[in-house]
Amino acid sequence: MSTRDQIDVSVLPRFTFGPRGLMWWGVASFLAIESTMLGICLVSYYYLRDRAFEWPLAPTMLPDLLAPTVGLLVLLISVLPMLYTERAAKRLDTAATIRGHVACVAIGLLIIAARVWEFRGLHVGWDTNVYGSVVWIIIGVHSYHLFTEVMETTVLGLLFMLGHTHPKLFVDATDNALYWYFIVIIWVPCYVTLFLVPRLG
Amino acid sequence: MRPAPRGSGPSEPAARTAEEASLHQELQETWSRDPGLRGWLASNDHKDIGRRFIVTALIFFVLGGLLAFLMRLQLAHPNGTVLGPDLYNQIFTMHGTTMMFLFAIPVMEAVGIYLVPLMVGTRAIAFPRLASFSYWIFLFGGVALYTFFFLNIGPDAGWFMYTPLSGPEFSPGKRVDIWSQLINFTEISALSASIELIVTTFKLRAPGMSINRIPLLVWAMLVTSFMVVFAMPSVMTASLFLTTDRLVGTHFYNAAEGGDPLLWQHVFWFFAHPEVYIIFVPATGFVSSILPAFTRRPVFGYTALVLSLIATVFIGFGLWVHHMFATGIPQLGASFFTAATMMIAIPSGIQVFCWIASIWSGNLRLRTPMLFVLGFLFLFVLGGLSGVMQASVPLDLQVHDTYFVVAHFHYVLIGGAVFPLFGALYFWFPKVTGRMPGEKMGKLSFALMFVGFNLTFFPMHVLGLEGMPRRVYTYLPETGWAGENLLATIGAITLATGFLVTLVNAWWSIRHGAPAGENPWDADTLEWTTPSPPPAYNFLHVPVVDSREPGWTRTSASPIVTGVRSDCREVLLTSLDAEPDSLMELPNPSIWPMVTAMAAGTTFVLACFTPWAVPIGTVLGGIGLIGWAWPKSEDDECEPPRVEDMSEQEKKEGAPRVRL
Repeated sequence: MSTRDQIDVSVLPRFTFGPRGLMWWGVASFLAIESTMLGICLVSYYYLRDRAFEWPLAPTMLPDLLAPTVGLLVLLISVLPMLYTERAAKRLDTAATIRGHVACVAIGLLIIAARVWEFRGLHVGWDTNVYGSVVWIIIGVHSYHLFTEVMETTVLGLLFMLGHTHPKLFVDATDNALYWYFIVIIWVPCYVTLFLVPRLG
Repeated sequence: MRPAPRGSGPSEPAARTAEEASLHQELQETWSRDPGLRGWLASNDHKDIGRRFIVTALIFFVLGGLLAFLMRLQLAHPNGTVLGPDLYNQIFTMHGTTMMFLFAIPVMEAVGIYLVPLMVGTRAIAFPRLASFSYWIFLFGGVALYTFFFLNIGPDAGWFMYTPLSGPEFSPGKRVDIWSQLINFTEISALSASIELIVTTFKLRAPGMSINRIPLLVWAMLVTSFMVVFAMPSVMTASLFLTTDRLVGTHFYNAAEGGDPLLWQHVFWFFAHPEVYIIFVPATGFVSSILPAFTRRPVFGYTALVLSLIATVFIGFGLWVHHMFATGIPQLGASFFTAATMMIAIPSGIQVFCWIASIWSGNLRLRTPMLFVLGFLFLFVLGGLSGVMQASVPLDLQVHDTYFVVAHFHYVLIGGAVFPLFGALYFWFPKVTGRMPGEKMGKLSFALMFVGFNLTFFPMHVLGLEGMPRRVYTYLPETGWAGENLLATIGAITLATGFLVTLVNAWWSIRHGAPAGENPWDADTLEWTTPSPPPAYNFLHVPVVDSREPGWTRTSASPIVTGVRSDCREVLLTSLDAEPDSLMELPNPSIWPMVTAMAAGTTFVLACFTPWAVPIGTVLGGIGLIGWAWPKSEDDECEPPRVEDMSEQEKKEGAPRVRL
């Protein structure tokens, strides 16, 4: 036994952030799955548009532009409090991490409110025609993610407030940020597709 | 003799120092599951989960096989009266659905869940609770599907469920809804398993297992997992569209409101063509693992084999339209997909030649696993060739929807996947159970299966060329198809007997087989360096890998890792280059993954009946997930200290147990 070569690993860190840890890879794989799903919804949108004589199909009106544009701006701005939260969590700064979560949840609720307003400006039901169906599925899938992520951020924030201050939870907070960024970035092609492309005629 | 104990208390290796004995004791206490039913349900040991998964998938294999047997009885003679047309429709749909979604994909993932952590030399799978969840959701989905089938609400529109036949207009009732919800169960199970396998391979490899030393089966499982990640969302989307069309009146596949039934075929086959490779690629991994043990040489062309696997993934995603040649797609498109379909023969051919080279230059030992590999090579080449034939559009149009296609894909799927799987079952049986499988019964089983398979499916080529369409519940005597059909039925009986012999063999060998020891086949991968069955903690010492064939090169003097805690469920994380990087405590066993799977299962079944399933499921699933992820309330010394108890230095260094 004593003659064996040994590598002693007890000096290694017991928590790491980002791709050095397990959870980051788990979240990244999950996001790859969800991106593929939304990507296929978007491809289906263009496939159906390609087969239609006019888009949106008559007698559907164009969707309103104001609400989704405001929604997009708020969504883009929400990256800032999330960046702040992520950095605070990486510093293991409990107070700042809690502040960051509160800010993110607040802006998250604002985005959800804007989303409700957007739904009202679609001027089409999911059962009106296939244009309505594909628009609702894209915005629906994204909204489901948005809702889930705001809930997750809320639960994380509450856990910090309840005094769970183990490094693992800070790592979770940074991986949660990854999910938030995904929701912001993936909305950009959705926004362009849903609200600008129909205006091309 | 008493059966070898399962999961815990493996056979003690012969020589062990006092130090090692106490280490074994401590690791055993840390990693064993709790006793009793609750401990069983909560277990997140990848070996428990993998074993359950394999057994459950094999039970579904038997059920799917019985359905096939009924179809063969019905078709044995013209004007058969065993089954009526409606039941026949349900049975061929259930047969295809069972074999693809409840047997082939899950069993491949299951073998990966069992073997990958052992092959990369770690103590557990990444995300053990997710592994537990993926099993339960699979089980609930399969049980739900069969429950509805026995209630005469089994799906009946074919396993690929083409619209508009499967749409609300032509398939009223709940049969199709049951099918599309089953898809959700399967996809969640397979996606979870894939994430576990990807992350295990990326982060939990033993030090020294750099990418050029990863065992070929692990490569195959990694590649398969990536295919699942990018293919499964497609069927998820397709079935989401179908469900909403049927349930809330969307129009994705409704041509009258601007939808397109062909959208289903595109989105479905974008998943279902790669799915063939999701089933086949792990099988190539089995072959590449079995060969070295029975040819007494490392497998020929490691790099070429790995690159072929990766090429298969990329080309495999570009073939789906060859299932749609009969739908009137533009000629340019058809030509492109013809070329792509022929191109995939290149990586498959490279693999076949590498295996032949291994056999040619090696020292062949004809044990049961090797026989299945040889059977695979023969049958897969035949199935591959009839596949390349169908890449040609005119030939495809001629044989489309005939028994020729049925013959082709059974050669690829049974020859290309089930034969290697049976080889794998024989090969790893001693590792999993600690006992040797019976060799004579194994050889008998192989002979019956090989002869029975060819008797069943070879005549179908001829039937197809003679014009017999698939999915007809009977035919007239004047067609002249009776002889081949009777032959196929006789073959099916032989094939089923072959499967049965293996089942009996397994049942007998678990009880009376000769004790296996660590490495009965003298195989070359890491799982053969630990006792059979492996202890709950997998490896007494986390190994340091210094060759591609650790099973052949490791001795009791080979280097090991020390400093991984034995009193906590701690694992070593390594970098891409397999350098030790950090330590992490994995979660304890928990009942919550099963609860979450039950919540999800309830939601899916409910979703057949009401869209309110979505909010209800969100709440139920949310409760399950929060229970699952809730942090431990008491401080525990396995975890690093709370941040307020850490020095600035510790915060920077990640709170190592021993300072540099």
